[in-house]
Amino acid sequence: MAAISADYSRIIKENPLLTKKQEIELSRRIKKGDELARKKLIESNYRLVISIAKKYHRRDLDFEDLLQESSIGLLKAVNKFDPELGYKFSTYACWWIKQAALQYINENSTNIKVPTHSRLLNAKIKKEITAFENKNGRNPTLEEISNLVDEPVKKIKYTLKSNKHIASIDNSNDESNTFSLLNKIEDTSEFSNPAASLENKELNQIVEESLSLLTPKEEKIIRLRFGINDNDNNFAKFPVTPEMRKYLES
Amino acid sequence: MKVKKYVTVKHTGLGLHDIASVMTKCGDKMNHSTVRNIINRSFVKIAENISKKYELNHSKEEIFNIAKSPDFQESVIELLKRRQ
Repeated sequence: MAAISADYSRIIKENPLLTKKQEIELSRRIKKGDELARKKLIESNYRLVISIAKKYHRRDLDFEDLLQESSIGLLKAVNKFDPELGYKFSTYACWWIKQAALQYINENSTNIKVPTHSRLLNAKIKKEITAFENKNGRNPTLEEISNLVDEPVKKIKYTLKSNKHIASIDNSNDESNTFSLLNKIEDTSEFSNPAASLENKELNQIVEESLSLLTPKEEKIIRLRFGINDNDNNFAKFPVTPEMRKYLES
Repeated sequence: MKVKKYVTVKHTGLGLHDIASVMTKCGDKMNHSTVRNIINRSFVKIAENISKKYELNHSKEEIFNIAKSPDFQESVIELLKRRQ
């Protein structure tokens, strides 16, 4: 669960919700350049920022950062709000806050930035796939997805490929940052198990020594039998059977 | 049970008859059975030496079975390939 810092809690406590009248009055003062009124309107609407940020918060995102980015949306809304149109400030501000939060998520949820339209299409594809699976009990083909979302197969393929989840091998799954993915990859180098490495080296040495016991004739026959030496694979000069030659040339 | 004289190992080389022809042409007259016996004897020689080095005291039959095993033969071939 996302935790809110003490500063935000204090601001929320000190600034209760505003009435529609108060909002209009503050907005009019802001238009005239009143900085205090601006501060008051911003601080009174932090509650809305937190509420929206909580909805968009995911495990791989830092909540504090998401809150900061959503606050930028609130600042934009304060600057652009027109009290004369008659809407409540929260109605107008929530779109700016959502936009700022989504932009932050898009830029930070993966290491590779994916354009917003591609991310939205990916979400649409995922939704259609789930609906199709629930209805038909099987995965849809690319052509079927293409018909469902009304986009070409090539674009579907590209979108699914570019929106795949990417994990860094340095990232850890637990909070304590102790076990990264890198720690779970087996170390196959000879330093991981010196005893086994030494044993293997010794065995290799013995086998090498044993191989030198073979006479040149024996070694030549084994090489011919197992096709080891490239020079011996020049079969044209040897009287091989026609079937074998056909097989070797195929 | 009849003892198998041949071992099947995946390879891209020649057949026993073809090797016999190659060796005969090169001056070592032999038939396919001789080729087979030489191959078996070579692997036995290697297995015997390894057994001796590790002081495992395998019997002749055990050594023959080790030499015949495809795993053993593939390992030896792998090392021969590296020696090229």
